[in-house]
Amino acid sequence: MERENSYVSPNVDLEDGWGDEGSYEQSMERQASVQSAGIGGAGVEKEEVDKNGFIVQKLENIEKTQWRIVRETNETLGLTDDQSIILLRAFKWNTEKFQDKWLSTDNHSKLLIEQGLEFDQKIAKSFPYVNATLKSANQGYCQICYSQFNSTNAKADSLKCGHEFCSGDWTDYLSARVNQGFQFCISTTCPQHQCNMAVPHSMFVKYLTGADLKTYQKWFCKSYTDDNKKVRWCPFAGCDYCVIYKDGGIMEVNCKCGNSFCFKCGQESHKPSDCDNTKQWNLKNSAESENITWIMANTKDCPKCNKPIEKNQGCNHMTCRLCRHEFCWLCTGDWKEHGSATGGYYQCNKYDAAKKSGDQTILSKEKKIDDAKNELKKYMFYFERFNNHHKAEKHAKELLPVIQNKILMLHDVKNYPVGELNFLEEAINQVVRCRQVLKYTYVHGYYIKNEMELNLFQSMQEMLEKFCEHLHELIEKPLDPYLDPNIIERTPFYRYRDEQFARGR
Amino acid sequence: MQYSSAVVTPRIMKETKLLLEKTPPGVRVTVSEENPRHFLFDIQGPPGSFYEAGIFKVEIFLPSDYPMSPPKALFRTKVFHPNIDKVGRICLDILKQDKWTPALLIEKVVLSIQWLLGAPNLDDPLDTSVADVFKASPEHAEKTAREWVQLYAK
Ligand SMILES: [Zn+2]
Ligand SMILES: [Zn+2]
Ligand SMILES: [Zn+2]
Ligand SMILES: [Zn+2]
Ligand SMILES: [Zn+2]
Ligand SMILES: [Zn+2]
Repeated sequence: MERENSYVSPNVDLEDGWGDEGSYEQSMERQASVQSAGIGGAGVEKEEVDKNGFIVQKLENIEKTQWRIVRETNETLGLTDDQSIILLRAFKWNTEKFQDKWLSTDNHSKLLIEQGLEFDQKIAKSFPYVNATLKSANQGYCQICYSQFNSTNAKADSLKCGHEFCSGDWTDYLSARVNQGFQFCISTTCPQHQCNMAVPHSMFVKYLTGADLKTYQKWFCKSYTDDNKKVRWCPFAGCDYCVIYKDGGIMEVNCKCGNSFCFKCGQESHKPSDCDNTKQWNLKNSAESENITWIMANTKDCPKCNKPIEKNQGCNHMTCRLCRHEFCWLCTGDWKEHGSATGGYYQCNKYDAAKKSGDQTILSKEKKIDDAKNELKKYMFYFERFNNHHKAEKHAKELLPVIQNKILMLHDVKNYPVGELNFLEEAINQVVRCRQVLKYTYVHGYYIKNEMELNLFQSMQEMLEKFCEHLHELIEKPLDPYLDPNIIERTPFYRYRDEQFARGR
Repeated sequence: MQYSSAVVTPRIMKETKLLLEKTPPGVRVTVSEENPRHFLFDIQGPPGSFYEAGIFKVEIFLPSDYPMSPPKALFRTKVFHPNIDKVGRICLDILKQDKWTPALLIEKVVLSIQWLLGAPNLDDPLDTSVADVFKASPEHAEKTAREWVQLYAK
């Protein structure tokens, strides 16, 4: 319990700093209450593990978890906060690994010296001047500001090594380190040149105030999340959730910000493509996106009247505004040929198959692809489809608030029970999810080398394309006819719903 | 404490006094008359090195947040050395923010620079073309270094 008070500095500025975020003093109190309530007791926050085995939490909750681990380690091994924090960091916050190491060795001082928690006498011997800052060796002068130690304004302080500097210098020094950035902050050692002592948490809290203390807290938390294989920051801009991995085999995180990402590599969700291929693909895209690929992927000429059309809807079923010709966005083939009568909506996902089988109908449709012999053409083929799903995903996401509004209206104006309307929202989420997966099927496909595997993969891809395309078309249908208050007949709406169910299940 | 660049802190005063009274061997120091944070050193090449016959002018400037930030040091004499580039910048660990500590002194910096002249570090070169000469043909490197001493460091 004494430890509890020892690191709360009298310098902590109650007005400024943590106070406005309501976190630092409070978190100190919370920590105290965690301590008094016992580990796992009433003071510990609730953890909601989602179906994939992740806990999605705000930063301050992560800090609480971090402190709980520190306290648990303290209690188990009889260490101080400062010792546990530095040692756990050295073991990348793998508590078990650290405890095993600590309990299986008698030579604790070796470990403590390595981590800068005990002074290394060997250094003092090989670098004689390492002793120069000791008060006795230094004629009572502070080696940083050259004030005399016995004067009232120069209160000396040191780590265990005994290298003394006045409190004002400690503040300046630690403030400089914290503001130089994360790496500087966590590698701060005693100001004495060559001294191995690490500056522990308690010193930062003792000497920093206001904005500096706040910055320090950020780095303190980052040292836990960065080192920890079980914690990751959400990669989407503006999101300040952290994710803790509990258990389970799925590495995909559904963040509370509405986005999903891969826990393993921190990129946007990329099933079924793997982390390395996805990284490679994204690098390639950022290098190529500037050039003509981009333009090609975003506008196309109507195959009948040759007027340029920009794709602004999610589904691939295009109708030219001028000549009303219906065609497929991807292969520019007639939409009629994409019906179930021709054995599937999609033949346009097959790149190599079209070339190799020599199927004339496909070959003629895939005009641009037909003569594709080089790498760039192949890449453009895959990129176009990748980008197409990417944009469709965006469109579907934008549709969500519109549909939510329509649901309210259908409920208010036509008195449909909410339970009978939820399918609309579910359908959109399904489409978004499908688009995400389909997007990355093209990354996966791009890197497949084996032809058999590619054929099998493409037939599965085709099934999903077909399903997703149809569902997307359905949800983009205007709902306004069903909103006419003069029409009481509900059958058309239920027919529409049943059609979605047939597709969605 | 925040120091403005014009202000000379007790530490700088004490350091200056020490430098003038107990100047290390092989070193001469001049403090700029306009700016007490600006020093000019004449550093003798270490005996036994390629640079032994030369006197090298090195400028040292103390930034406003000294000693929290390291001093800035620059060679004012041309020198053929893998860790010193054409404009006189020096690649020395304690002059970098992550290795500098406020308990180090100007004197220590000057002695380290002198030591660096006698111990070129080919693993961390600043001027790679010079380092290549040092690696490929030490004799050629020695010849050029000694020629430059005769040309510029007298
Ligand atoms: Zn001091
Ligand atoms: Zn020390
Ligand atoms: Zn997020
Ligand atoms: Zn991944
Ligand atoms: Zn047209
Ligand atoms: Zn098509």
